[in-house]
Amino acid sequence: MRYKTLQQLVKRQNPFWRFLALGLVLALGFTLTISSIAFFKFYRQAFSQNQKAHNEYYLTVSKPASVINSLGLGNSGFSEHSLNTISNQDFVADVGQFISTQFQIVVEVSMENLGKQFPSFQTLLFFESVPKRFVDVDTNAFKWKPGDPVVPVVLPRDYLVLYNYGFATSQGWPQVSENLLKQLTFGLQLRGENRQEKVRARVAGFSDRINTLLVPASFVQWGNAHIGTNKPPSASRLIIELNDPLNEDVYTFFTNAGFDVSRSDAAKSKMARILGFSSLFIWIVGAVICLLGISVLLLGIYLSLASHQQEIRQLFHLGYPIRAISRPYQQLAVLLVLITGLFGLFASMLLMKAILNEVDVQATELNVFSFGLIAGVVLSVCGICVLLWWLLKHRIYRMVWNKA
Amino acid sequence: MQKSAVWNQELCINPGSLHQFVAYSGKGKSSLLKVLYGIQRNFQGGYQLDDVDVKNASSAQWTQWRQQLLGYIPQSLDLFDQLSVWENIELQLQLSSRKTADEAQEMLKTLDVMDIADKKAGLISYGQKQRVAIVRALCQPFRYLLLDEPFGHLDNERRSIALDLIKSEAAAQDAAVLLTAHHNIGDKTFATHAL
Repeated sequence: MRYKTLQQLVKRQNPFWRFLALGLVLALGFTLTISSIAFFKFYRQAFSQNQKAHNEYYLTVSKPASVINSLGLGNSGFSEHSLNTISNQDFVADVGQFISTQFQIVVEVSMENLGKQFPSFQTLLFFESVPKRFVDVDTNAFKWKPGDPVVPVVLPRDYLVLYNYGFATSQGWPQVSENLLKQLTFGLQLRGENRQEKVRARVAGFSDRINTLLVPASFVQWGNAHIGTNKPPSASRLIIELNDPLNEDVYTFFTNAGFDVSRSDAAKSKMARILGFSSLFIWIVGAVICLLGISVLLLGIYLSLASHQQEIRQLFHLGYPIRAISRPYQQLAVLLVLITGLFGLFASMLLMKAILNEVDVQATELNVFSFGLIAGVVLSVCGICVLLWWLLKHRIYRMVWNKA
Repeated sequence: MQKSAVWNQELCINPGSLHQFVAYSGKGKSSLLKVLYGIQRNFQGGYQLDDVDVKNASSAQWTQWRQQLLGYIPQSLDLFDQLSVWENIELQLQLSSRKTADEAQEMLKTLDVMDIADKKAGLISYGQKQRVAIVRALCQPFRYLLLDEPFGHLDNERRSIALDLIKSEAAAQDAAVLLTAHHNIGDKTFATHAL
């Protein structure tokens, strides 16, 4: 190693333990800063495209019922203008309308062939349809055309849960499974003003997204035309696909427009905002600690330079180039920043892994520590190193040259 | 050296010549050598080194001159107290390859400081420090050797040995020697200049 004795001299003047405390502060700062960015990415991805199957991207909007509606006056459906306004919002990817049946439906359920414990009953029902693209069950099983003997019906999964753990328990009836229900068919009496029909129906699937009794739109159209009043359909509810469920403008817009939005959806947005601010706050704290740590590191080295400026000038007068004199100090600063930066990166990874385990999410499901984040961290650390390199050389130059 | 406004003297130093500048304290002996070595750059007058006006020289240029043209022993000696005697010598040896470690050790032996090579420079006497500083300065290539009161704490015998060593190293490189002293060092080979 060239200038070995010079390196030894600087090392003796600047024992490593002196910078240990500084290193710990820097490591903490880096860990907080990187963790906050990773946490921000995590909670965004937890509601993102990859998690779309969990239906965070869909919203049901309705017009609240008013006294006028109760008196049979007014229109409870969405106007053309309202539909256009909603469709044109930036956060709206798609809009679908709920269309209701306009005729009476009586369902006859008989499960006696399964055993005496299973009841038979009749009840009035209604059906709704939405465009097929919004339905979250196998659409091959969910189609009907006039003449088909069986109408497929999609039930909300929550209804089965309610039956099994609420109604069945209270009535002493047996619980039923999804598979069992899918095996049954039941009769539908369709009663209009001038016509009646009987058809069979079966459960084609269970929806986690749509909270209604769904039948294919073709059945609703046929039923309304042949049995119902054949009035032009009016959507009283809308299903909306969002571009970004965490956009707080979504809930503000619908609330200001006087529409009802599911309370849990609004709460999710609020939670997302809180998480966003929390991440930002932690990031700011981490960044401030980093900046303070780097400033104190620089000041610590400047202090060392000041207390050894006579020796530094002696080295320069002996014939040592400024770059050789500054190199050991630069190496000390850069090494400290690199070590603490890498420590911060790995500590953040471990921290995020612990958080993901806590919320029961596999780390492989989310790309929190993407190439971009790691590259960003590495580039930032390198940028700090370059800055420190230049500052120290400049300081020593001024120390030895400007003094004369 | 061109006319100096401070001393009103015009001086030309040729390679291989020996000069002593004799004056009482405060006459500017150290300042003269500091100007010649580039430590003091705020002076009036003119100074050219290798046909370069030193007032325009950069830090890198001065570094190069100090590595190849100019040797210097300041009055303060500028040894590093926390390094050993040998480590102080190594600082110079690692700057140029003119002298090997063995040759440097021979010079330390000649000046009778080899036995303290492992001692910290801060713990040796001033006379010993002067001899170590002389060896260090002789370890580099030079055409002009500037010595600021190099024998102040040496007895006559050691001063004579040191002077002979300096003259032989200077002669080997056809270098000029400029030294300052309060009193004439008594060597007739040196041209004497009173400030």
